[in-house]
Amino acid sequence: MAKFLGKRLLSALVTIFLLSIIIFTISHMSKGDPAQIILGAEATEEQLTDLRHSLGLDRPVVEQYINWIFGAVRGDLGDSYYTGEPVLAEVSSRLVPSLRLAIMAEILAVIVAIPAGVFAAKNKGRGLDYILSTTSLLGLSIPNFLMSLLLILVFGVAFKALPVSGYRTLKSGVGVFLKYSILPVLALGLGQAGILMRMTRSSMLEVMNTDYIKTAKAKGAKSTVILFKHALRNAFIPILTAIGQSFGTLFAGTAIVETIFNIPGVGQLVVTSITRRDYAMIQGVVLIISIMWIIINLALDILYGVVDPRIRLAKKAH
Amino acid sequence: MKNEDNSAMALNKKSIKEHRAIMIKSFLKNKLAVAGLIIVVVMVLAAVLAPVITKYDPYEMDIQNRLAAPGNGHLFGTDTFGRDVFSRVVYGLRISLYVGFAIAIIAMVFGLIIGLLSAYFPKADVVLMRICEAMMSIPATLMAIAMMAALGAKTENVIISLSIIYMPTIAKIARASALSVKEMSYIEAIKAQGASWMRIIFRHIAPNVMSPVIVQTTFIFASAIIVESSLSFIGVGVPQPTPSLGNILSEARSVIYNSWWMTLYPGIVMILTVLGINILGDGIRDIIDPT
Repeated sequence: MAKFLGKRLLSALVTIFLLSIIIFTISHMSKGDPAQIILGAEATEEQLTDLRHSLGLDRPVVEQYINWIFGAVRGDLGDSYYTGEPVLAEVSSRLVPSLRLAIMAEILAVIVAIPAGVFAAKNKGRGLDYILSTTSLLGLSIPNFLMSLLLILVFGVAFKALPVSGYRTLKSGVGVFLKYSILPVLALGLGQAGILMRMTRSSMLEVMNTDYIKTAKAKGAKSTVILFKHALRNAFIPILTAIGQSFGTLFAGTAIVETIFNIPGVGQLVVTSITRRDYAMIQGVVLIISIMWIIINLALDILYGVVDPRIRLAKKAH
Repeated sequence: MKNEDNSAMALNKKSIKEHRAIMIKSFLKNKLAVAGLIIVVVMVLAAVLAPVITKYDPYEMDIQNRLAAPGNGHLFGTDTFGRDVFSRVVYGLRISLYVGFAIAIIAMVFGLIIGLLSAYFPKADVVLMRICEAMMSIPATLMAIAMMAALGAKTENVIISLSIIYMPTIAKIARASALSVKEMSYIEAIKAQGASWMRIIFRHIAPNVMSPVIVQTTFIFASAIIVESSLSFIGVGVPQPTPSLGNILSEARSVIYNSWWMTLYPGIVMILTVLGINILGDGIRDIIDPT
């Protein structure tokens, strides 16, 4: 077990190290001079040189990377080019709205997708399967931004039933909170439900072909009991993996949805940072979200290893 | 001897033909897949024939006639500059399909090469697959936003950055199936004959890993259209005034209260296109891997 844990941790660390190089490289592809961006067009050559020196931009690239990564390990991701505030503080102050949005969207997706996937698998090849499968394909064929616009068009413009912009916390009351949450959560969650439903359907189909399900059927167990108790339980690991995987897409989706619905989260921060040419901020956000995603998947991976010895042993044999 | 060779080849060709006929037949039986194919063909035709089927120049402004509702010769109405929305959608579709297709092909070719090399050379494998995994641990849209912010909003940059982002997906799939093909006895036989690694990889292994790679490529095509339009929507993709489905919808967002047609029609075209490609991809997968 210790060996399994060690291996997983080590491989996650290697991935994070490589990922930091990739992110650093991307933000250094830009032709803009950070000193110029921070000081603006009127800065004198002398001011620019001074700032470049204090930011360490006159050092060799490798040294810049090492400084950045050591800073990052200590929790210092540098300062925003635009506001001058520390990147990490700004990102963490905006994490809650994004996490809330992502988690609510994921819950919606799970509630819709798992029963739909189970019933589609049960009725494989029949009308219900076609309807559910095509609907799920439709869900994942609509980009987040388009889903947002269509929802606004229907619920905001045509029926004027729901607010289309703004963010309210639970402090302003459950009703208000829900009212402001419905459209963004639907915009982000429906596409997610499409992906999850397909995953549920295919892993259910795989499980339903196994001998123990046939045995359960043969001994005359009720079909709903077979479906939800025997089959779904065993199909759950690939479904959980899909949920873990989907958090990355979900976080990326918040960038679009938060911008449209004006939610002060991390996603909106990324998009506003583009026009501000605040590369320090973009670099920081991408690093933080990627690491969060890796940790979620690592945690799930370890969890499976604990609950299911087959996985632990298979990975060892590999 | 030569004759025998020829007849063996003829037989081989015949069986390939028969195999193909069976595959086409089973594809045609899948009504949904055929519907997908029809949608894709219609969209591609519309994009290719854009100059023929549109009445107006997509760039021509007509300020007096701005934000006109559909009708009066403007099938989808006009936009904030009085440009014909139908023309812009058709030309936008052209750009979106072109960008998506270019990304899918470039990602496929390079991903395939990386995957095959990884499968064949265990030493390269460790490095290449680690890099692929690291790239795949950055959410695609987020990585695309970061790259486009650094490179600048330009159509070519969208193609470059998204091709790079999708390469690892193909590489992993190509590698996985190449690993099993590599162990087969015919590869051993070819190796024993002294064929070069280039020949073995590209002539003998590559054709046998193509099925899963092609299926994945169709999904990348659909996904690339979605990500490109999302980038264009937030202003880091295809820049105005060049129309793309994403930047048309971006403009639509600011006038959504008064001009529903600017959101609805481009939106429907976008959904149909992506849905068509996805259905087609599903259909192709069902034939190639019928489980």
